[in-house]
Amino acid sequence: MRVLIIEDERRLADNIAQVLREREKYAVDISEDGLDGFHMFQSNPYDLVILDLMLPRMGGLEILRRIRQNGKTTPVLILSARDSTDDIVQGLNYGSDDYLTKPFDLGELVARCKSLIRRAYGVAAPLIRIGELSIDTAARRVQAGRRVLNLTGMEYQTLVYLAMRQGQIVSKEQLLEHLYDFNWERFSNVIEVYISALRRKIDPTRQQQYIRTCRGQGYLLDEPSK
Amino acid sequence: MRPLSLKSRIGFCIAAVIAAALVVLSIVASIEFKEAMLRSVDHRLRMTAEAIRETILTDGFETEESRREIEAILKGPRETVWLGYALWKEEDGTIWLEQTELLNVRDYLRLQAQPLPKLDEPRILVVKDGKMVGQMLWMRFLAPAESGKEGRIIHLLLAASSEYSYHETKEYVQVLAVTGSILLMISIGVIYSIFRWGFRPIGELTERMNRISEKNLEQVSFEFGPMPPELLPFVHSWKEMLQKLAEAMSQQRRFTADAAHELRTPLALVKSTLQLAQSQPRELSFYKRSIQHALEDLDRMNRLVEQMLELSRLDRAELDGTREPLELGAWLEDLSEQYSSYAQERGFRLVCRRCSAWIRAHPQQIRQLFGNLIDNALQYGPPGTDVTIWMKTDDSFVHVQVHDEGGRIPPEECPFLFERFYRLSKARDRHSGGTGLGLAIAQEIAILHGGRITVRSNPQEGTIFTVVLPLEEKSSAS
Repeated sequence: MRVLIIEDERRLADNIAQVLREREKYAVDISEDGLDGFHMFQSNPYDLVILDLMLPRMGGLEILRRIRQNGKTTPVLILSARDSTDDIVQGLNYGSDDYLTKPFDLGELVARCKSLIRRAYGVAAPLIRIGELSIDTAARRVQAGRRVLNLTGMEYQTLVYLAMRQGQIVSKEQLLEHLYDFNWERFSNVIEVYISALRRKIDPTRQQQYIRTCRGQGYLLDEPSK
Repeated sequence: MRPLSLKSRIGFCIAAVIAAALVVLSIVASIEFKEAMLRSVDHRLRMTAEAIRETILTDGFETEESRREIEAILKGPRETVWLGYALWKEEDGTIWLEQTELLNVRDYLRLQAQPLPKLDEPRILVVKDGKMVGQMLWMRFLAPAESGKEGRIIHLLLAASSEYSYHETKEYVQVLAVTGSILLMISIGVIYSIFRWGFRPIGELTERMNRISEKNLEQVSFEFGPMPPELLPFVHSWKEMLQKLAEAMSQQRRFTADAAHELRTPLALVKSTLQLAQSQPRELSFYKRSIQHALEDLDRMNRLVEQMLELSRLDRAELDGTREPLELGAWLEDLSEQYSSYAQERGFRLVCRRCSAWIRAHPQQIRQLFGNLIDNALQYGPPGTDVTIWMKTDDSFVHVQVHDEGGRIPPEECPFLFERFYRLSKARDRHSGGTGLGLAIAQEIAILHGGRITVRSNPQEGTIFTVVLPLEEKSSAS
């Protein structure tokens, strides 16, 4: 999952980015400037935007208005020091999905981010079941039948992204864009490496195929055809 | 005692004036009426006396015809009640005709009027037991000579009761009193309703004023529709006061909101930094850095709180007696020396070009004023350049300029630079440690000292803050 933080207090943005990377293995980009942030949003497919309101060059509400004007449904969480009901109502009315006031709890922020992303993919329950495969996004635990899978962070993120878009073909580019931020070197074959590792870990015997390869198009996660 | 309402005060005054006017009017009217009644009795007496004289002149004195004629005349006017009359000759005082049933007029005259009243006196009042009971006429005329008799001087005394006129007067006064009171009542009622009508705008205004509280001050519409001209100045000044109050309150509210905002951000920083450090085992250096950052943020909060307190102190500051004469030139040189090593650390050269100028000032506040400006220059000027303090004086002011080479402030933002928590939109730079209050404090201090502060900034000249302070009066300085 790829998150954009637009917050002019650099160290606060860094702290949020670090906790999202550490706990959820999200790809996180940071902009300290409203206008740059908006440009970054336009040129990359983010799964969530964390938005401060008082920003240099372009205010948070203006960014939000433009995002919604462009028809983007990307979840937006406003993170602001303004805590009056009027401010919160205004933020929500401009099209934000959540509003968190500073100072906030990092754990709460992470939980809200996860919930917003799930919702955006039409998944309400934190537990996703596909056949015998169950993905507990709250506890970040994946089970195939009774067997608990030991996945690396990126493997887990790849699986969750595919699971969120269950039954849809996801291209390699989409996977790259949603799992990596600007700071990562993107190897073209890195996705193949994760997919094959996932397939091996989900079903070592290779009898059931959860992740199918659609030639030339991408990957698809669904219940294995009997 | 509760003070009387304005309405009752004016109402009472007007009612009292009307009542007094009515009383005076009734007194004058009743006197006039009484006089008129007296005059009418006078007139009747005279007419009757004339008629009797005519009779005697035609029919002769002491004749039977005259006597009948005279009796007929005296029975004539019904409204006159005769108290008595007498006709006598002057030479021997022999009475010819007399009626004394009610009053022996001759005796009365003798008894009551010592010395005798003058003949033909227009009015003789008949007083009995200290009370006026009637009017009397005393006439003397020459009866013509008759056959064998020479002309004689005849006296005629005629007295009429004033009972009728007394009653008339009494009735008249009563009517006057009753109509007067009714008039008074009616006028009080009319006055009251006129006042109610007249005071209605005040009532409405009061009601509208009552509906205003500190909570809805900003939503109040200050339009009142047509107002009586007397109320306009009051409404205007009231409106002005309310608007000022609303402005001050919204400013205060904005300041509080801004202050909370400014405090929340470092608070969020401290909290997230510490939570991040705590969330999983870290290397020692991570903990060290986290603690370092948290301390820095706490410092920032501390500075912010201090400056907010300073501002609120300045808001309440009065022109107190703690000011002392100060030679600004030497003082600024001192200050720039204190700052020189810090400036060098940051890569600046601090230059002070001073002249002599005595001002009366609060030394700590003046230190803060110029300290904030120098801090600002060292913060935002391009390192490796000079920060210069210029001074010059004119007749009554000293101008101090703090100049740096950075022309960073867009002209359209210059006016807002001294607003609390204002940050340049291009560089909302919190990392520099600025609180957004330094320039606001500087301006507040300059104003408190009877001066002002302005800023000019462009890439050619750099940024120049100019502080203008009044010089101390020459007489007290020397």
